Amino acid sequence: MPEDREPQEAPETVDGAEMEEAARRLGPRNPVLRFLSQNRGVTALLAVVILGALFTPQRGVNGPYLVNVITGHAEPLRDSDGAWNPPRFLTTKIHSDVLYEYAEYGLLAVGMTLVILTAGIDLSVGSVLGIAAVTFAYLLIARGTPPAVAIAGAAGMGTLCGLINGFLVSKLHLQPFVATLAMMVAARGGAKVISGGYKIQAGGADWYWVQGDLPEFMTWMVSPSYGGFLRPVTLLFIVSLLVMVVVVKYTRFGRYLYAVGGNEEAARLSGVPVTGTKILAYSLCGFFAGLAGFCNACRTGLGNPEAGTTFELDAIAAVVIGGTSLAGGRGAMILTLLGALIVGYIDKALSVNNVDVAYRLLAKGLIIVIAVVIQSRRRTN
Amino acid sequence: MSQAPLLQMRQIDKWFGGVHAVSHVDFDVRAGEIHALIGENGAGKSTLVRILSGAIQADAGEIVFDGRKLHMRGPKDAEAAGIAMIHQELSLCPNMSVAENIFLGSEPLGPMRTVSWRRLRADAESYLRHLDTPIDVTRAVEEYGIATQQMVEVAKVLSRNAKLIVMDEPTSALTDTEAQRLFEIIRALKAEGVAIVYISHKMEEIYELADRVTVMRDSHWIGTAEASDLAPGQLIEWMVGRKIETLFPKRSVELGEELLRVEDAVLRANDGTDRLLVDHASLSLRAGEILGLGGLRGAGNSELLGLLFGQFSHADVEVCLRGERVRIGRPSDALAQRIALLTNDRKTTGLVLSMSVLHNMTLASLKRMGPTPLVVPREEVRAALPLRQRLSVKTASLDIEVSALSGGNQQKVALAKWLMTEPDVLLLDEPTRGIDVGAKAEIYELMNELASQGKGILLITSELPELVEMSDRILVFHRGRITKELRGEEMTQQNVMAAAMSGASSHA
Amino acid sequence: MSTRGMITVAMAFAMVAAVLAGCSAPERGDAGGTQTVVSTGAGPAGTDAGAPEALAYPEGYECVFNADCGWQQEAATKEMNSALSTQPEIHVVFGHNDPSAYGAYLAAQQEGEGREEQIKFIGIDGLAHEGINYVRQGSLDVTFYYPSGGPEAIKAAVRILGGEKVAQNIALGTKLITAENVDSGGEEMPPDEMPGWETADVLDEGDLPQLSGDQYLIGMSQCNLAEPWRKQMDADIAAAAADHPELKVLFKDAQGKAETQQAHVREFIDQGVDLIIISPLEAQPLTEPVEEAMKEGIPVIVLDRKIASDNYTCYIGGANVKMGREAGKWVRRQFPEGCKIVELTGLMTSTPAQERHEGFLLGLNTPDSELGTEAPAVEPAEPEAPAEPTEDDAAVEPDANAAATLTEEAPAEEAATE
Repeated sequence: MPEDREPQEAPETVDGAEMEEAARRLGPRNPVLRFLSQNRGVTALLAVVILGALFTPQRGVNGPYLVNVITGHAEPLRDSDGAWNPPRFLTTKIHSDVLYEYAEYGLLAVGMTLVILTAGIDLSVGSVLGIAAVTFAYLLIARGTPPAVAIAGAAGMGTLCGLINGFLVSKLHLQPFVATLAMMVAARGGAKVISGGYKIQAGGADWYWVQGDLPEFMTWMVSPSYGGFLRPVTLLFIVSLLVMVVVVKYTRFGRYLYAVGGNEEAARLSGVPVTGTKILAYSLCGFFAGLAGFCNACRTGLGNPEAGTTFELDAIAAVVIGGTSLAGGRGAMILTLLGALIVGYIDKALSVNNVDVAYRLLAKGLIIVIAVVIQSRRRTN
Repeated sequence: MSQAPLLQMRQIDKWFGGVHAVSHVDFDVRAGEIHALIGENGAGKSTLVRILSGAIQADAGEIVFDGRKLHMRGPKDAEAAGIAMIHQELSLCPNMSVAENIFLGSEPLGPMRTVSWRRLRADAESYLRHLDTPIDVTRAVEEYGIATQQMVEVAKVLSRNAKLIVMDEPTSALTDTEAQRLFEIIRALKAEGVAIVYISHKMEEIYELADRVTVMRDSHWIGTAEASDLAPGQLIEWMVGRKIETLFPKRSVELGEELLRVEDAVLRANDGTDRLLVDHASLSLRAGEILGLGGLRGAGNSELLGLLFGQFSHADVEVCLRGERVRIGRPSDALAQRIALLTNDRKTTGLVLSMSVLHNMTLASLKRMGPTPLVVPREEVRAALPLRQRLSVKTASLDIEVSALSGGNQQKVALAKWLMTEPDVLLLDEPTRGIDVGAKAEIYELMNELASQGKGILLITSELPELVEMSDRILVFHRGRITKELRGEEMTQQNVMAAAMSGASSHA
Repeated sequence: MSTRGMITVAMAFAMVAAVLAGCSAPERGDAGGTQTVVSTGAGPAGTDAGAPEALAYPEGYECVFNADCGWQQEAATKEMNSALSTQPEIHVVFGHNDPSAYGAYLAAQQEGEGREEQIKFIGIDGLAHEGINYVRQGSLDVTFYYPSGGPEAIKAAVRILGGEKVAQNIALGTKLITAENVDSGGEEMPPDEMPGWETADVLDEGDLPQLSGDQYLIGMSQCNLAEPWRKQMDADIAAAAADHPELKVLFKDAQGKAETQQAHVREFIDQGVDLIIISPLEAQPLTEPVEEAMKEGIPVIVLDRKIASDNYTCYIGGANVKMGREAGKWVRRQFPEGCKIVELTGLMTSTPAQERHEGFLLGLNTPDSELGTEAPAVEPAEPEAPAEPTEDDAAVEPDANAAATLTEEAPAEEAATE
């Protein structure tokens, strides 16, 4: 292995651990292979998409494409009219659907990544999504405020919940698990109080401002635009993610997250505002949960007080599958996108094949274990 | 001393990937002997004892113990043969009781194959009495101090009938009194025929304790000798491979203006008592001066540095800095006043081990790494490269996690972090702890260079030669008070030690 | 190391692929066809409890996609997206509840190709602010009202407390609600006739007795108030009880825990209530507490789901099979020549979902002669076009009842004790 290394890279003496680290980082000589071996998340995502292409059905044909090719049931890729009929994974609609369906989980995972980087956890995001969805629907449908006010209400409600979490964790020194568990229960209760226990939807009650059809704004948020590929909800998710990629990587706050998560005391003694960093991380997590709630309301056309139940687990799964360490201090925002997409694509492949829910759950559990094993192997090596 | 050795390791060879960690090493230990194993960090001694304790397997070579050839597949095999290891970081479960810890994994069983608590307790007590440590074995380990915990660890290995105990820097966390007690126990064990392999960086301990000394360097065996026959100069030459004429570089600096004045600094213990950890300490530091702060562990010198840096959330302090009065309550106050604190434990308070070398270096200076709130990677590299050069940090890349570096290089990274803040006052708490001789010399050079640039340094070190040689002046602490100031010719190891201890006798 | 890592990754995903391929064999496409019907026996099940032959989608009616959405609207949207992308032709979406059907509608609408216009969306439950609202908006084509049994329970309670004897098993019907009849309250679909079962009409025969005491305490144990329909049930009971000032109802919510509900019944007994109304979470765990109450001489009215014995005063419910069945018959009338169906089921481990699925297959398998209306056009607007609900009733009801008697041979009690 040492022969692989460029001679000028080698200092005169390095420790064994350092040498191995260097060898690991350099990897194979082929640039493509090197990229793939250093970015396993990308490799895994590619593998999923390729397998997806082979194992999803063609339109109007049941069963995985590859199986049909072998058994001779496959339709020609181009039918008699010259129209393409590829396996579904080779169509843009699937990818648009995956991004759209995972937008909510993705938004939650974006916030969750910030908190997990500080070695915390936020169990409340699912419930905060619920309370934000209800707040949005209440303002827009029941009260008839302009959409901008309703969005601000949802995001503000989320941020408030996050702020309280951050306060409990950093000022009162509650364990993040406990503090956010309390918020998880309380926010769900709050959602039910605001909604009166019913789904808030157009025509749902006679005093609602909106009596007939869905508000146009909510329909617009989920209708295909931008060339039929992206919906505004999807776009919101992608933009949020990209902004946070930059924030985590290129701002002081981002660096503080890693420092606080890696070694809180060392960070404090380096002048890092530990309390402020944590409060901001939890607040942002709540803010994104608020946005997710707004997306959820638009997607379902109503404000459901039960919305987002168990979503926190999917968000944590996406973060962990991406490779961000639950112990804090290690990981990256872009990994979370990969994690969310890996889960999303596998789920989609199973769904278009009409696979039983039971098997999907099995597959999901398997993926989490495999992903975490790969990550931990990388670390111990 | 003509009996057959208890342990013989012959031609031990071990590779880690491309690194030859142990190269054809012979090592033998006699029954009832204290055998010091020394060498710089990375010399291969840790790997050797890990092979001995079964934690890893050698690629070649054989181990003969007590007349039998050992084939070890894991630590259990070593334990069964009678070889035990006490690590630098103790391997006890802090929340469990002393007795449970001692018998963890080999609990005495009652008739129903359930744990017999009565026997567990009685046996644990008898082992600890034997070690002259009569403590309540039903209380949790975490309730006791580090010295007692070490005794619990010793009791644990004795309970497994260890014939050979490996101790890896056992005194690194002990006060001198505690260390002396440990030495007594070690001598008592020796008298009972238990062999000890003793790893240490501290020269004095080696000469006080060891019967024989084996030195390793660069993964090779260098030499083994009776301690009484081995002159210190020879030992250092074996360790570093060259004769060190002057380990401590000489310097002559014109002292400048008064930089820092502390008057009647007080730090109360945060445990509900009125105990004063720092008891009305006053000092004055001039530009270009290295002021040594001597004292035993817990005497208040380390606490004073923490106080001056705003480390304690329950206390703040007012000092006179560059002629102005400033109040320091938080680390960020100290940073703003160009004060830097190199803490005495780089792993828990100095570095963020999960972050890269570069990010550790810039952590305290992020505000200068680009327009607020951004951090520009190019700026970071530009700031880090000169420091990497100046401190000769040995790392393949700045992007490597700092945990992958050796102790000495980690310490240099921690120093680099503080130098990047361009401090006027440097508070150095054990700057050379646990690092090898070569790196120590480099850090001494650096301290002199900083002083000559007009910075003031407060230095704490538990190695007396270092304190005496590096300091321009020494203040000795005892029980929170500064009890003695030593200058010029008075600055000898004997005087420092006497001052540090004398307070104790006068109070007693 | 790196190559080994790559192999690990490849193997991992090959395993996932194997799972994927293994459980998605081609015949999986008509999953509904291979599904065996589970006869659960809670409620007046339409099938023989020991029926040997499994029901299947009949010739011409193909289930092109089916997925367990666990009653969740979001899940239904997601699954419908998959169905839309693989199936060029879909005629009917049968959602086991209104949110599922509505979620599927939104998926079709959000796709932006206007396919929601070509698909019939069928829901179940017909809650005022959900299903009925969706039908009014034009999202759902039809929903079937799921009566809570609340008002009936209070009527039965008054009669029991007044010393009268009421029928032990009272079956509830449903209402067919379409855009045409939504404002007039929908079209009544009375329960199918079964031996040992009465309809809710018996509760209206004769005047309600005048209660002699001044205060009667009724304990109502609800199994899970988080479900809107059950919230409605409590609301219905409260509203009906408000007409009887001498009744005082204590509501308890077991929050989906059978243990809590057991405790509720014991607390009621301890408290000395005059009558207990219970909507059990599950049959088995609540049988013993109900029997205990009966032994103490407290009458028990069981709502919606049954318990595992005959030892209760009155059972009111059993609309699940009926609603699924009417949905199936509605599809038959709309598409006499057959059609392609997407079935978005509720949580298939729960009895209501199993019963709705079973009822749906029963309805689809109804012989032409028993469908109840003249064959509709293939291009069906709304076959029950007449806006007057009374006329509709007359046209549909008798035949529907006849069909019911023919297919449902099973004595309900047998099914119930299963």
